[in-house]
Amino acid sequence: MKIPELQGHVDGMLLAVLSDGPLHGYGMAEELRRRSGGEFDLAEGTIYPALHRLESAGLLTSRWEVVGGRRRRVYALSNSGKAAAVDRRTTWLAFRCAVDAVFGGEALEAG
Amino acid sequence: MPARDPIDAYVSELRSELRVPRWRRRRIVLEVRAHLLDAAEAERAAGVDAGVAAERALARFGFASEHAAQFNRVPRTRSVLLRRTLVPWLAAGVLTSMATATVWAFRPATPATHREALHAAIQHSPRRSVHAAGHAATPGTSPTRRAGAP
Repeated sequence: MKIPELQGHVDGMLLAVLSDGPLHGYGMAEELRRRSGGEFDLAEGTIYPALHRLESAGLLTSRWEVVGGRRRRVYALSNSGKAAAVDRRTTWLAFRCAVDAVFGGEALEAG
Repeated sequence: MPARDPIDAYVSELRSELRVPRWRRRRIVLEVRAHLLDAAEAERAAGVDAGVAAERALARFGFASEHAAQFNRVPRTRSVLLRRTLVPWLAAGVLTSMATATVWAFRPATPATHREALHAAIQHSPRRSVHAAGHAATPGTSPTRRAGAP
């Protein structure tokens, strides 16, 4: 998938990945690739400004840990981040349902 | 001259383009370097030569200038903002209080002291002595003699 289409969803996808537990940046990149079956192939470096932005917004916490003999910054969802992750997923599912209906020629019930 | 390690060169380029506080720059550089080393190791584990592994890791990571620009746009954390606004105001309040206390401690004499000093000056002034002398020269007008007294 092309980068412009992915970029707007990076924050939500990072929150979704971290919903399963703390991870460092490289681990998140690998998990995004795995979950998408290789479909999402964005530049891995875009993850870090997104992580810093989410942390700045209070949705993530982070700390240094030694993982595999190397010092890495490990991120986790804050309480606000957990709520935001649920909210983003709910919003996305509603959006996907609506788009599916439009592409399928169906009309969803209002509300 | 040996060729510079491509990951070191990339990290140096990223560092030079970051316009963030020093502590943030250090953190970003450490995170990015760890990521690139992990990615290169994964390539080597797949049987790729070290030089090629590093180049592939860098290609997947993206351009340093673009990432630096994104980092430079990340807003500061609330705690940093709070420190940078609250601390100056607190410092100004403390300094103002200290200055006020110092000025108050070395303030000029109080009004009551002034009144006492002024009264003493009047008592000993030459004008009062002349006034007293004038009253004594005029018969029956001594300030110590009451009207009607013998």
